[in-house]
Amino acid sequence: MLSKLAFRNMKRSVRDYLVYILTMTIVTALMYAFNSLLFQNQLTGYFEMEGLMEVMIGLATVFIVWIVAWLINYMVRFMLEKRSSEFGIYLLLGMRKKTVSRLYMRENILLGGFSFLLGVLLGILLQQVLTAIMFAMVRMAYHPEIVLNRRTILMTVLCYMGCYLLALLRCGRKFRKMNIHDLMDAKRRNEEIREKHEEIKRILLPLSILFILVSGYCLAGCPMRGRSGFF
Amino acid sequence: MKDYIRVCDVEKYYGSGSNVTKAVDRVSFRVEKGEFVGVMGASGSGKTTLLNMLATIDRVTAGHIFYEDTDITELSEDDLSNFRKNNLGFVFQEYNLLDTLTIEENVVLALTLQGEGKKEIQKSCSRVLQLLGIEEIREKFPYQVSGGQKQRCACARAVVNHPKLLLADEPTGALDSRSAQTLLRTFDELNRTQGATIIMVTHDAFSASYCGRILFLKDGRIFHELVRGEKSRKLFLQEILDVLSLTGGELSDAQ
Repeated sequence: MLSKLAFRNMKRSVRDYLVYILTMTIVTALMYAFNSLLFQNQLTGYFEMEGLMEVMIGLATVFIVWIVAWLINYMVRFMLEKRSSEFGIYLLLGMRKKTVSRLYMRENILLGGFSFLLGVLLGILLQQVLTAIMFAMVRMAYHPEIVLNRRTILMTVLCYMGCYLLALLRCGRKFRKMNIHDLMDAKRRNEEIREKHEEIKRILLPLSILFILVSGYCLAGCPMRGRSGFF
Repeated sequence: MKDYIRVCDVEKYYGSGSNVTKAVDRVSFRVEKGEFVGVMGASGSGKTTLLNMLATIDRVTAGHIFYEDTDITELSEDDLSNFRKNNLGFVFQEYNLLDTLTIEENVVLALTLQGEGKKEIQKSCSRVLQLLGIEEIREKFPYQVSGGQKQRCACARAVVNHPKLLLADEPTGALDSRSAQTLLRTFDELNRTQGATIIMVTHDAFSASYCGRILFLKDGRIFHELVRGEKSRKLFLQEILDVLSLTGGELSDAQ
């Protein structure tokens, strides 16, 4: 019965949180594609500076993992808040808190696994595109081939799982602190938006716009090497 | 006769320091087995808070609540969920059904948590659905049925595992008068034939007239008690209205 409940809830969550699943899928795809570049051996040595590419791609990967961590955390928390009155009912029926949090975890694992699989499939396609771009940059002919790198998948899985675990642990702690009354009431409360560092934000926005403009101008100004080689 | 439920000097405060609101202020009463008790009062009189504490949803600030020999104010959280599972049934104004499950599954879920066998679950589920007259809609989802049917389903879920106490918080609040009457008759029947003990919170005199005894709350204190005894429901309703007009009169004086 509990598995059935988890599955049904997951199915409904898919409908309700489609945007999140799509985002997760795309982010997983990005993560997979960049990770695959990290383990791409054919290209190393073609760039002027040895190791420069690894650093760049590594940075991109870190950035993506960071976004994924935030996104998963936000989504898990958002869903917990949206569904807290439902969890209140479970508790009313006499389920233990541990059972309820396990149920929620099971749902999330189903949901996460689903979008992960989708993401990896999309990621394989994206990887081809990215690799093609990379090859074009060094003016090498690229013949599309689908290679499933074990290390790439492993790394993507690890990053993804780490993010999920972190988010679920945080939620579990929050859940343990709440009692039934809070849970049944939580839906009526609004999401708190905390505004911190107002001043810095005001300066940061024009600064970032300026930065984009300047870098765009620089890129357009200097002729890009191998521009004709794109596709 | 031994008391079934004993509420001793229960208090509930909200806020802290100098800004304290006494939602429930030293309330004591007893409920005997098989009673149908109503709790009435204006909004803000603390009746829902009192029910929430009886329902183990909220913790008391001070005082004790005994169910036979168990003091629920001293139980740990896991013990409380066990206690709820075995002893309490709930009916709320906003139904609180799970929309992902059908009417039947909503009832079955409550039984599954009890860890009963499949056959028994099927049997008691059918019995309760029949008792409450919602057999035909057992395959439907909550959003496909009317409010009255939803509330009867919630009622079925509440009574399916023979709770010691059925707690109802404004059960007729969201229903039209016909469905409300059906539900109240169901409560009455459960009380008479199944011997269910019921505590119902309401602000509606008509709903309250189905009870056997009514406690009137005002500003967190019990200020009056009415017992139906052998009176007819109509006479009892008149008495309730009299008491209410008394409080209403005071309110208009204050203004």
